[in-house]
Amino acid sequence: MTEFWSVWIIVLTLGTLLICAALIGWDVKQMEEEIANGQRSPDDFYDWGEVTAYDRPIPYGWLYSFYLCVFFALGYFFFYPALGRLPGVLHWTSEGQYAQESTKHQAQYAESLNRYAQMSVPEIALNPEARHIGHQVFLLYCQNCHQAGGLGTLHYPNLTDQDWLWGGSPEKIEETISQGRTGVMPAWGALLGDRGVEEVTEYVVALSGRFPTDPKKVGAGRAKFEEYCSFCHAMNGAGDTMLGVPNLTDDIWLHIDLETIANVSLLETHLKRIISKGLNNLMPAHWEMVDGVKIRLLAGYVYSLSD
Amino acid sequence: MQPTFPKKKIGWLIVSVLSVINIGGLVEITPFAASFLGMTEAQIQGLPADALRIEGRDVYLREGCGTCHTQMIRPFVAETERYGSPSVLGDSAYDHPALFGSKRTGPDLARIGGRYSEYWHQQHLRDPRSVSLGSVMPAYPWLQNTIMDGMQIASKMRAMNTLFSYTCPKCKTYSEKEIQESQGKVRGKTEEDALIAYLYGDVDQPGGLGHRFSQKR
Repeated sequence: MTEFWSVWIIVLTLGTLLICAALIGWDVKQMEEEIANGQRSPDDFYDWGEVTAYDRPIPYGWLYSFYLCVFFALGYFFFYPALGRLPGVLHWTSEGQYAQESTKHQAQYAESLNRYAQMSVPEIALNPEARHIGHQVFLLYCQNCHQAGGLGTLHYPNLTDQDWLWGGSPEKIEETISQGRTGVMPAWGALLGDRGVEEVTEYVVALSGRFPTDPKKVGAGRAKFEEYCSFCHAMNGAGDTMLGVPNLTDDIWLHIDLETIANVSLLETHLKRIISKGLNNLMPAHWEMVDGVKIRLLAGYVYSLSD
Repeated sequence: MQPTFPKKKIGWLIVSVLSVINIGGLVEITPFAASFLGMTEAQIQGLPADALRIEGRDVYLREGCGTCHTQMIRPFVAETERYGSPSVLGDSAYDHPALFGSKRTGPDLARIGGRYSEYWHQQHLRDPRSVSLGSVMPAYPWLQNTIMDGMQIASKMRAMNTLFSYTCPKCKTYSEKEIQESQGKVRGKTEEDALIAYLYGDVDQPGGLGHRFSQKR
């Protein structure tokens, strides 16, 4: 704030306050003098038909509480940074208050969190208190996608089972939470062509083992799968946790709800869309949001879920 | 005892009331405007939003997201633990209008960028309950069907340039090339795409909502 605006604020603020105080004092005095001189009667009233009101000076209680407010304001100006650039006697700032508050907060929590700083993820998973803190962190940052209890939902992995996209070792879980993961499946529509997509779809349906399939198409699809898809999904479709590639041979599917798929054509529609258009799967990185010990505690909680 | 009328000095009453109210404005608003104009380059956070994100911001405005969501993190630990570092003046350098909001039925969104995947935003906009149990947010399923033609984006960007030049002389403005290319970036995309781009605040693209402990991008 420049000098000019500082003076501008001081003059206007103090000016308005003092003018208001003087005005009401002068007005009350004026009315009382008129009553004393007999120019005005305390019983005079305004008459607007339905509404009538006495025309009297305001009661002293109100008048003095008004003056009290003015004094309070002056005191406030004196202690707090109310007037332009003047810092006030207390040197209060919102930044200072926040810094103080967060230092206190960190000190308070460092004490309870640092107890777990040396613990490994499996130890945290077994320690009820540490696990409890991990659970609280989970509720704040994770449950919007992974749902309460880590049960997951369509598109968001279930954390309570033994199936891991990116590996379920304590180190991998911690890495996933802190760095995030990006699973990328490219679009294959242009390369495979409509017929190719259909054949690969048939093969993937066969992998799921849910519905009867046409062996001839499956054979063609298998050849294409081994040529194009096996680089990530592995020859047998078992996936690869190094790349976050899902296992296509089990019952745990992330982007299609296998349980509620009633018929094979619906499953094929979903699969064709994914194979031809590709799919990106993102777990956001959390290192910016959650500090080190909390990530460890969170990893401990998640690790405990799958046991 | 006789009826009287407030016949005296009624003009003065009007003038005084108006001047007291206006002085409040002069004390509160003009210095703020001046500090906005005097913002240094170091204070300005981020870059002007790209074409798609301007459209997204306009969807945000139109659907009234600001009624339930704020974009203003106050400097209290209880807020910063949940939402990220406190909002500062420079965060709003490119916001016209600034979408501070005043009521939180939903959470603050000032630094929501990058916190959820784009996929999540899509699901959440179409059916909030499918990912967030017990959420009271309305669904916005029609956004996926409204395809934008981008007819207005160039004039919107020019209007933003005018606003930047008046409110924030040190702010960056859109180049003529960006404005020329803008329609192609918007045409054919849905309003849902635009809103998600705005909400997600992609790390590689300017504009959109801020990231949590880094500043706005």
